[in-house]
Amino acid sequence: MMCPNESTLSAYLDGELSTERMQEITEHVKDCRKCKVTLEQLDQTRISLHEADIPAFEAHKRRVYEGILYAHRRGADGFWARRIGLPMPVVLAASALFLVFAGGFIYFLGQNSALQRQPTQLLYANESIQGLHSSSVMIPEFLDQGRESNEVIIEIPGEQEFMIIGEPALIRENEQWNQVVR
Amino acid sequence: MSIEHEAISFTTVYQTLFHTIFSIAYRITGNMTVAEEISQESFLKYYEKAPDLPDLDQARYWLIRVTKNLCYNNEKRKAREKRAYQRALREPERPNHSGEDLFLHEESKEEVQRALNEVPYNLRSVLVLKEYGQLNYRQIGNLLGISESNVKVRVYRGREKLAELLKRGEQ
Ligand SMILES: [Zn+2]
Repeated sequence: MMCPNESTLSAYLDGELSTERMQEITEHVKDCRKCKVTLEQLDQTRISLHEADIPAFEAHKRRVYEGILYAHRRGADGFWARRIGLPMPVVLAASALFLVFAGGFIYFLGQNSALQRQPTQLLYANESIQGLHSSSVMIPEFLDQGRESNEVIIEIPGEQEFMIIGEPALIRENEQWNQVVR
Repeated sequence: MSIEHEAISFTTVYQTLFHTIFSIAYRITGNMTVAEEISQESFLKYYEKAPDLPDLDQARYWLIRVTKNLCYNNEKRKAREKRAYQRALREPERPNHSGEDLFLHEESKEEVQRALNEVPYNLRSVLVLKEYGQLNYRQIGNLLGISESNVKVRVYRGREKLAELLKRGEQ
């Protein structure tokens, strides 16, 4: 048998060849020193990768999990800005809106106070919406306007020259901003 | 929810697959902070979308798909930042990686990772998916939209390059 090419030896390591081909190569490598060495070298990279432990793994695992819970809770914040298709009778729509606003209001109050978040109230508002099912009503877009308090204004000194490194979205914003200033 | 199976709980998915997802994100990006961000975004997406998948294998495939896209976005962003940086300094592209280092917030202390960072992205990502994703060539090909034989070649060339870099590191 002719020496298999090196990418085939690599595929052999991954068990990605037909059963016959796998057997042929197993036999070939017993007698061919060159292929044996190549195979060992390729295998060594796998061993190196799997021996190398990722440092402080458990700490990352815990931190990411906490991050997910936190981001999800904050995601509930974005919930107010979203358009929501709500299945419910028209009569109930008004009361639901009231609940949304009441819940949202208490939530914003809670956010602005020293107590950063008040998940119980948020949950309350969520539940009252999820509890309603039947015909369909769209909550109007003015829900979006309830977020003024969350707006962030960044002032940039006029004479400064900036070098922007980062997302094109930021660069675009900056260009638009410059046009407005001029 | 279908009748044939119960969806696996998020806790089970997280406990079982965090290692895989974090390893892939870290090995491809070479940066702990970025790997944390990418893992978080992938699992958060899973949590919020709650795809109705019958087993952990499919959950893994689902998560890896999201993760490799985020890794790719990160790679593009890094390349953009590097270009912006070089343009700002009016310096020509240099063959070594000194520009790159400025954006590596946490330099890896691991020899293997340092070598892996030097392997070109299109080889590194395929090799990492092979070594850490428990996927076969066909699945990797499907994920990346390339042929199985292309996967085979990239895995090989990735290994070859990594072996060369590790050998150089020893000297
Ligand atoms: Zn041979």
